[in-house]
Amino acid sequence: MVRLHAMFAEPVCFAARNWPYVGESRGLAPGTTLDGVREVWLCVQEPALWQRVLGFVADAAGPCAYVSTLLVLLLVLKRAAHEGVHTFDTAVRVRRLGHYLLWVVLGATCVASIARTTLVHAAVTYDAGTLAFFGEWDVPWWAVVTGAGLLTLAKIMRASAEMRADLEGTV
Amino acid sequence: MSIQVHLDRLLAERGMTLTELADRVGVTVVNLSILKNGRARAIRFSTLTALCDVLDCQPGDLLSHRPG
Repeated sequence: MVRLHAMFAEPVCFAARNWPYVGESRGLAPGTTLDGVREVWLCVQEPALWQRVLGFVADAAGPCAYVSTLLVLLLVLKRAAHEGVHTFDTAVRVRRLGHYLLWVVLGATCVASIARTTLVHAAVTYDAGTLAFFGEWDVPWWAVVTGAGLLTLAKIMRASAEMRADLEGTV
Repeated sequence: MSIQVHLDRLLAERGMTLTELADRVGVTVVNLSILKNGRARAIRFSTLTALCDVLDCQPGDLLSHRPG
């Protein structure tokens, strides 16, 4: 309860990577302060509930996606160890993991970027640009490459599962 | 599957059990059961030859193709 109270009492801070005024406290909406010099952090001193929610989403979406990916990976490995690697079910699970990496991790980081950009939009008086979230978006290329690799691996595993079924069905 | 296996009929006509056939052919009962129940995906020529030798039949007596 104390921690919850402390969370609601603290200002919501977020990075503004495309800050146009180097280290200067200009163009800020009322109630917003500039914090930090190397990377510009804006702090809304008395944030509304939606700003708190967006602040949470901006901070937590990426890590949540990474942790859930790790859990899904562990689940896939556990089931593969139990059922065997060259099975149709394992191939399907690997394909799902690939899609998960491609869409969920990308989506989560995009949502975090949109949340951060929305906070910046509300905290400044200049026009930050409608599509500014693209500049804020740290695209996790490792997830794209790994996801595409897993989709390819799933196709190979499906072929090997087919071969295994053929071998087992040969009398 | 459109390939029909008539192992049941041949065994019945010769009064032979699946276990006995498996022993004489040198194939496991599990594999013969897979063949008998139509779950086999392929059959080796060596297995077909051994089956035909033991059952004294032609491959056409053991297998048939049903179109469609």
